[in-house]
This record gives sequence, structure tokens and C-alpha cells, in this order.
Amino acid sequence: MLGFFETGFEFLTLKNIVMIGVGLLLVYLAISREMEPLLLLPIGFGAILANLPLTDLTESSGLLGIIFHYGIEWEVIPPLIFLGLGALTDFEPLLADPKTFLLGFAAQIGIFAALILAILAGFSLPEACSIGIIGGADGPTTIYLTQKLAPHLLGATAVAAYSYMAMVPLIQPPIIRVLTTVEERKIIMKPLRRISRIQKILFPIVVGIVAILFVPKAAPLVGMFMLGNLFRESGVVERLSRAAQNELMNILTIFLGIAVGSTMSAENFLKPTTLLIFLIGIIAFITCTATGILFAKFMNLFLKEKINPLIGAAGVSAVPMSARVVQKEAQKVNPQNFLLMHAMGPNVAGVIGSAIVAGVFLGITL
Amino acid sequence: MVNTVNVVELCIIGIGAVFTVLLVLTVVIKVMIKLTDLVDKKRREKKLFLKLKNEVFTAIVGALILHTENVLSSQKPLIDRHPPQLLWKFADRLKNTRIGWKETAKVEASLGEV
Repeated sequence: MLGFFETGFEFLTLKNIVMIGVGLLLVYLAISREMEPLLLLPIGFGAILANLPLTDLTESSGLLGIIFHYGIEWEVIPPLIFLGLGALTDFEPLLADPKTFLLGFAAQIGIFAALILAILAGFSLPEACSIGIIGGADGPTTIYLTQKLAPHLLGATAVAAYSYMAMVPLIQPPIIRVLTTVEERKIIMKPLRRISRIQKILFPIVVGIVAILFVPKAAPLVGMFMLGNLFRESGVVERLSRAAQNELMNILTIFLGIAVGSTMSAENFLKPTTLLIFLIGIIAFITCTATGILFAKFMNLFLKEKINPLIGAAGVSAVPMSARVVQKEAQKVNPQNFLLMHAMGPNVAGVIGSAIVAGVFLGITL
Repeated sequence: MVNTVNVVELCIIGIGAVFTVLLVLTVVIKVMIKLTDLVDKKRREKKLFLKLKNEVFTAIVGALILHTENVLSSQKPLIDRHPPQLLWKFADRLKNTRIGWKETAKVEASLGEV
């Protein structure tokens, strides 16, 4: 009987209020600053809902608990989001210049540097892997790996990953300018060759088989990514491709956002380690950008036709923002330089690269 | 507490593993593109060669018809009614086409036309 008169006010703690404030901040950033609104809006609101007392939303039988259990704990949503991403991705720039795969690798080196930093900061190996992967700038991969290795860090790592992805236009340009000279930024690359339909169809099949044979633990992410791309390139399943790109992605994005937000309870989020995660995450991101650029410069020592080292910065998986930042920086020194399509090669290679790294981490830790 | 040295070793192995996978993927994709380009080129050459064969066949049949008409006709000989320039022009065109079709195949391949 007394339960009828129970309100949430008497159970609201200071920590709940702080977390509701964090949720409101994320919602503000999403709406007002348009920072990754598709994820930060539901994450922010999910965090608000998770910190309102007596709702039972995050219990195993509650709405958010059920979505989290079947979507994230069962590892369904991140691979299916990769299906949608594959259907959205055009691999033609990568096919036109396959050596940009190596730039996709180079931009993942920073993940390992962040892993070492996280270990030195006192995190365990699985936690350090979850923190390091933030540098790959790949939200679904971060969520997938963190859920498997360190689920208690899911809220912090996901928010960090998506926040830094949204801040790519702020974070990358200074690093680019420090690590490259004006002459290097002026390098014009020759136009990309055209790719035939059969080559675009064979690509996801070949990459899927080879990558998964090498790194079986990456199968859910890489497999779904390649399947989505095959939907797109085959041209015979237009309905499936459109559904994967639109309806499926939109529905899964909603579920992913609120499920991740629901993990941002005060007990999980308000810890000193959260700030440390954000700090190491940004270091990972910066290092990944730097290693991408430096590897491009290293490749130029052996290449007759030089590549513009700016495209190395696009090796982080923030598609297509990173590529646009590279295009903008190139045009600042030479308005006739159109690097966008060249930068898309390492950009999409980075998505495959970060999924491979996640598979390697799973192989090391599990 | 994890041993830092072991972690550094693990990282080096991890970087090596990721590099190996992506290097193999680079090589495999390059080989795939080269092979498919080769198959495309052969298909294009075959298509042009068939076109040439058809034109040669048509020319032979056309010449035979003209010759037959010429023999059977009681009118002025066809050779006078149809000056041979047309046939010679056609023969020249065939000759140029025969020389040019391989170059044409190469140009089309470089343009990447399917």
C-alpha cells in the first residue's frame, strides 16, 4: 500500500543527480553542437533514465535491461550494425590503391600504445584492451570488445569513443600540421583507376574469408561487414541492401544508444577510472592519427609515386569525417588538390583494421 | 598485476599479427585485381576479334553476291555499275581494323570500361 505513495525523490542521491547532469550534457552536445547525435542523444537520455530511481528499467526484467541483455550481452547489435556499415561503405578507393590497407594498419598502432599506458595506469589486460580500442575510433567495435572483456567499462568507453569521433575535426588538424611539412601536404596523387563490378563483388568475399581464417575471433564483425558490402555490390538484393543501410541501421542505433546509456549508472560511471579512461582514450586517438601519418611518410621512402602523408591520418575509422578533414587540410595549402577519394581508402581500411585488432585482443585475452 | 614486459611482448606480437593480416590482404587484393583485369582484357579482345570475324565474313559474302550478280546479269557488268572503290575501301577498312583491334583493346582496358 505504501508503495503507491513512493516517489523517486527520496531515493535520489547526489550521484544520481550528477549522472543525470552528464546525460543532459550528452543530449546538449548531440542537439546543440550536433556531435554524433545519432548515438549521443539516445546514450544521453538512456543515462538519464538509468539514474532515475525506482524505475526498474535497468533490472533484468526492465525495458532497458532486456534491450541490453539481448542486444549487447548476446553480442547481436554491434555485428548487425557492421552489416549496415558494410552496406553503406564503398570500397572502390581502397580497391583502386590496395596499399592503403597498410595505412589502415598503421593507424591502429596507437591502440597498442594506449594499451601499454592503460596497463601502467593500473588497469588489467582486458580493461586495457577495451580502453586502447577507443583509439580506433570505431564505436561498434569498441562496444563489442568492451562488452566481452570489461563490461563494467562499457558506458565510459562508448561515450569516449563517440565523443572523440565527433571531435575529429578538432583533434586531427593540429597533429597533421605538426607532423607534416607544407611541401608534403601539397603532394598531388594521381587519379584513382576505375574498378569493375566483378572486382567489387569479389572483394568482400575474398577479404571475409582471408581475414577470418587469420583471425577467427574477428568473424562476427568482419563477417557481417563483408556481408553488408556484398549486399550492396551484388546489385541483385537491392531491397536487402536498402534495408540494411536504412531501417536496420536506424533501429539498431536506437537500441544501441539506449542500451549503452542504461549502463551509465552512478556506481559504474562516477569513478576516478572514468576520467583516466577518457584521458587514455584521447591519447590513443592522437597516437593513432600520428602513427598513420608517420607510416605514410615511411612508405614514401620506398615509393616512386609519393603518397600525400595526410591520407595516413584518415586511417582511423571515423568514416567519412577523417577523410574530409584530410581533404580540407590539403586544400588549405593547394586548392587544386582533391584528396577525398584517396583518403577514403585508408579510412575504410581502418574499419577492417580495427575489427582485426579487436579479434587479436580477443585471441590474446580469451 | 600484469607484468609490463609481457604486455610489451604481447603488443609487439599483436602489432605483428595485425600487420601480417593486412599485408596478406593487400597482396591478395592486388592479385585478385590483376587476375580480373587479365580476364577482362581477354574477354574484350575476344569480343573485338569476333566483331572482326563477322565483318570479314560479311565482306566475303558481299563480294560473292556482287560477283554472282555480275556473272548472271545481262546488263552492264556490275564492275562498271558499282565501281570497285567501295570494295577496296572496305578492304582497307578491314585491314586497318585488323591492325587496330589489339590497340583498341589495350586502350579500352586502360580506360577500365567493362
